[in-house]
Parts: sequence; C-alpha cells; structure tokens
Amino acid sequence: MLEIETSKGESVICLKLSGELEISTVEQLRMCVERLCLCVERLPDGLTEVHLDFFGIEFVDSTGIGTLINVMKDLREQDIKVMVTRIPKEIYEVFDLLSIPELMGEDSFECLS
Amino acid sequence: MDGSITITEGKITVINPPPGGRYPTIEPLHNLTVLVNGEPVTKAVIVAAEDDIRIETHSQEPYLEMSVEISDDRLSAFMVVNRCFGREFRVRDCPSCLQARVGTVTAAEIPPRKISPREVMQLLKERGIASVSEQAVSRICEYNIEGEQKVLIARGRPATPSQNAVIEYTFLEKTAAGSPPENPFQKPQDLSVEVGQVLAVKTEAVEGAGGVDLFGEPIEPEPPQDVQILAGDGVRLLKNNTVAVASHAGRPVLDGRRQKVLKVIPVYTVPGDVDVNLGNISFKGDIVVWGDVLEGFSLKAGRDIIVHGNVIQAVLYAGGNMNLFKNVISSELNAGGAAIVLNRLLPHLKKVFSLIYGLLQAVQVLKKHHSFKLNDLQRGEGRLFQLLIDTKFKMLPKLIEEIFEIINSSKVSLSAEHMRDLEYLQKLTGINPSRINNGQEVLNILKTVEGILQKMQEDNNFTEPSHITAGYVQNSVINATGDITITGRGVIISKLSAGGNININKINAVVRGGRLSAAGVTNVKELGSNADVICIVEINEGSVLKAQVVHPAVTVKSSSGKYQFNRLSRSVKAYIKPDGKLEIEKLNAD
Repeated sequence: MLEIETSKGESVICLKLSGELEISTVEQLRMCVERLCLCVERLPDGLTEVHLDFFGIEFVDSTGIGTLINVMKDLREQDIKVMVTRIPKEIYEVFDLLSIPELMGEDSFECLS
Repeated sequence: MDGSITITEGKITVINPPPGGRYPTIEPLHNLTVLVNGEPVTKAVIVAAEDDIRIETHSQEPYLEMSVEISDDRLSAFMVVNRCFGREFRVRDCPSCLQARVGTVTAAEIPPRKISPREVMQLLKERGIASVSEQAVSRICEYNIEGEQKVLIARGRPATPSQNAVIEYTFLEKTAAGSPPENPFQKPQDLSVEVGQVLAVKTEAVEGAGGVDLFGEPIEPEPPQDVQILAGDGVRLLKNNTVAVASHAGRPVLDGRRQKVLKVIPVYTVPGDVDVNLGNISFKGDIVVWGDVLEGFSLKAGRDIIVHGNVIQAVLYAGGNMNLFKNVISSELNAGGAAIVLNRLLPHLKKVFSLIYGLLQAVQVLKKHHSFKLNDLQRGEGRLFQLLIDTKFKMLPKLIEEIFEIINSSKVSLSAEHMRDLEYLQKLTGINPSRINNGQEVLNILKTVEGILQKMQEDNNFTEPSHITAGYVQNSVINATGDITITGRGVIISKLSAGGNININKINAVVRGGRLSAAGVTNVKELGSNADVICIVEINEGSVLKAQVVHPAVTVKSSSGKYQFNRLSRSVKAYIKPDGKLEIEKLNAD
C-alpha cells in the first residue's frame, strides 16, 4: 500500500509518500507525477522543484526503485529539480547498494541521520 | 738488610733478616702444594727460618679418547683419537731472593697406553661398520704422538650416477656454428632442410650402478630422466623414436614455450614482387618475398614473413615473426596471429569477471536486506539484475561492447570455441538482463568467463611472442605480440603496439609523430620533432620509456595521468612508480 499526500508551496511541490514503493504501488506514483506534470503546464513559471518525501516509506523493491529513477529523469527533462528527502536510513542503504545517489546526483538525496 | 729464601733440588733454605730488615715470602704456582707448618698456602705468605716448609709436587695421568665420525652420505668413516701424555714434575730451583715464586719443571712424560687392533675393530663393529681398512687400523695403533689423529678407517662404495636421455637437434648446430647475425631475426638463407634429412638424434638414458654404504646398505642411483622427441608437422620419427627426419622440405623449428615440438614449416617463396600477376597470398607456413609487396595486396602466413623489398600500402599477417628488410609505407603489419587480439581482450575480460562477481554479490546482499521486498522477483530475478546493470554495474555492458568491438575490428579471427563462449556475455547487455531467471544463470556466465580467461592465458603461455623487424616505417600500423625493432632511419607518423619491447635506437633513428605502446621497454634515440606533430607514448605498469632526446609537445600517457614535454630534453626515462604515479626523469637540453 502506498499513500501519497500532495502539498504545494510557492515554488515547490511536495509529495509525501508513505507505505511501500513496490510493484503493486508504483502505478500510483507514476500517475501522480503525470498529473503533476500536466498541472505544471498550467501553473505559473515559479514552480521549479518537486520534493519526494520518503519519511513514511517502509519497503522498496526493484520495480519501485526503477520507477523512482524514471520519475526523476522525466521531471528533470521538464527542467524541474527533484529532491528525494527524509529518506529512512534503511531505505538509503538499499539506494546506496545500487549506487542510485552516485548515478542521479548525491545532492538530490537527503538521508535521515 | 733483608732476609732471603733459596730452593735447590727441592731443599728450602730460609735466612731471617737482621733487625730492621724484611722477612722473605713464598708463593706456590702450578702442579704443587706448599705446606707451611703443615698448612697448605695458596698465595704469597711470609716465612721464617723457624717455619717447617714442605713442597709436594703433583703428577698428571696420561689420557686417551677414541671416537668414530660418519660422513653425511654414510660413505666414509673416520677414527678420531685424542692422546694426552701423562707428566711427573719436580720443584724448579730458585736462587736466593726475598719473594720466592715456587714453580715446577717436567721431570718425565708418560705416553698413554697403545691402542690394539682388536680394540679398534670392536669399536667399529659396535657402530655396525663393515669394510674396514687394515692399513688404517695399523696406522692408528702404531701412532703415539700427542694431539688429535683423524684417520679414514672405512669407506662404502658410491653409486654410479645415471645418465639422462639427451636430444641433439642437428639443425640448431648449423646456426650456432657461425657468428650471430647483426639482426637477431634474420635467418641464414641455408636454414632449410630436404626430405629425409636428420633433424634430431636422441641418446637413450643409461641407468646408473648401485653402491653400498658403510653399513652394508645398498645405495640406489637416481633413475635417469627420459625425454621424447615431440614430432609435429613435417617430421617423422624412426629407429624406435630416437631419430627424427624431415618428411617434407622446409624450415625446421622448435615450437612452443615449454614443451618443444619439432616441426618443418613449409616455405612459400616469391622470387619477385607480390603484384597483380600473383595476387594476395595466404599460406600456412613461411612466406619469403624477394621483391616488393605492392599496393593493395595482402600476405597471410601461418608462420614467418620475410620481405627483402619494400611493403607499400599492403596488409601483412604472420602467426610468427616478420622480417622486412626495407621500407614499410602506409601499411598494416600484424605479428602473432590471434594472440594480438587475446592480449587486447585479456584486461577487458578480467574487469568483466570482477564486475560479474560483484553483481552476484550485490544481488545476494540486496535480497537479504530487510527493507528490500522480493515480490516482483517471483517470476524471475531479471528485474533486479537489469536494475543493477543499469545503475551500479553500468560499466559492464560498455566493457562487453568494447570486447566485441575489438573482435570485430580485428582482422584475425578467434577460435570458434572462444567466440561461442564470448557470445554468452551478450546476456548482460541491453534489455537481456531482464530475461534472466535466477542467479545460477549469471553464475554460469561467470564460470564461462573464468574458463575463457584460463584458456586465453594458457594459449598465451604456450605461444612464443612474435617479433617484427623493419628497416623504416611511415604512416603505418604495426602490432606484434613480441618486440618491434626498427633497424633503419626510424618511424614517421605511425602507430606501434608491442607485447614486448620497441627498439628504435640505431644511430640517427628518429620517431617523428605517431603513437608507441609497449609492454616492456620503449627504447628510442630521438622522439618528436620541431614541428607540432602529435607524438604519444603510452606507459603502463611495468613498461618504461627510454629516450636520448625528446622534443617539446611529446606526450607520455598512463592510466594515472599524462605529461607533455614543454622543452627539449635529454636522457629521458618515464615509468610508473610503485604508488601508481607517472614518473619522468630528464635533463633539460636547451
């Protein structure tokens, strides 16, 4: 199960994720980001950043991580900066084993200490 | 005035001093005891005429010791006798004096008892030693001088060593007899054999004779080592495999790095030029061209290529050495056959092996991680392998791609077995990893790569390096698994790659532009030029560049960095230090 709570600031949209990012839930994230991209076209130019808040994520699988990478790439193609924030230590360990921060940019990942 | 003490023939006379004078003293030395009034003294004591002074001399008993020494090889026994004579002493006379030190002189010497032959024989018998020399026993018994006597008393019979089988290669004598040619790869013209000519003769091994040690135990000689004449193509064995003769005409060679196989290589001789009248040549033995190899033609030899003329816009492949006496212009030379490709592939394959190993380990770690779910792997682990290869191991498909690029760009084909095994690597490229069912499939690929590496290294071990020698090279590409030696004016804008050394150091030899890469020493007289021609020397771990003169703009490249000369330099040496960094030693020349 994955819950996504969206909050909008002046220039930042935050997607607060909680639950499991895995094969049965990745579609939710993809749809949410697609909707967001459609909205972006209608929003003023000020929106430049999307935060994916991982604080509530408990589990991931390979499909979930693959989807996260694709979502980040899609948003970047639209010149939107993506940050994955408040990543639980255990989840960050999995990212690190896959060298995801190294691949996508260390600055885009914020691990909870 | 003082008193005095005198000793004459053992008699002691003491004279007391008048009032005010000093009394005499007596001090014992060796081999005697001095008793003053019945008490023994050990140091100087004052005595008076009234004292009862006596001297008792000691005597030494004669001493005799016998022992037997055995040599490490158990073939020699020595009787060692230590004799020490006994001695009787008398008191040495002492003239009248105040301080008498009483010593002794030897009155008689007593030799130790005589040794009987029976006694000697008994001692040797106790040690179990047979075959005793009677003469030596007499010498011991008759000898009676003080000190140590060491006599060889018994001797075993050593084994006669075996003689190993020996192969004499008669055609090698032919080359050894003359003075060595100036060019080490130049073969004398008469180094060819006719049908039936004897190439090798084997002298059979001879078994040695047994011996006996001191104790009567037999000594077996080392068994002789046998060797076989290994006959390859063009060689027939006769007389119970002890004589090898040529079964066809050609050039005799001893092939192989460890085990030497005797072969006769067929020779294809072109008396003139390789041109439109002759066409391309592909021959499994040697090719000898007495004229030029002209534009657009190729030579492919299973063994050596010798060209007495020029090579112009041609492509030459040799499984063995290449000796080109004149100029090489706008041509491509490859010596070493498939080994050239193998040498280029080995480093890539080693990296691929290490990455696949890491990939399997990463999968195991991830599968055990408590925050990583395995739901999506129920139908196969392909997704996980694909994810890892797209992220952490993204170098893997790139390296595999490079491997096939090397193979495809090479005009020398690898064996079908190598190619079949290498095809398995394609399972780790593109979207193929997503089709992997489980880790066992990847483990099988890892084992295949390990097998390829092993086979390639074995092939390299058993193949002798192939060398190229040329007079002058311009605008050409040269690859050799062994050395590249330029005997003339040098190299102009060419790419040279050697598995051994590169030697361009004859008088006035120059390298004006191009790229040099050698696994050993790159030895150059003059490198670069005043004009801005690109000239690069690649240095790897274990390789060295030595150049007498280096012009500005020459670049030395290594995996740890590069160095570009900005002024004329002399006595240049470049190498990789143990810490992996590029080191340049040079003297400024301007």
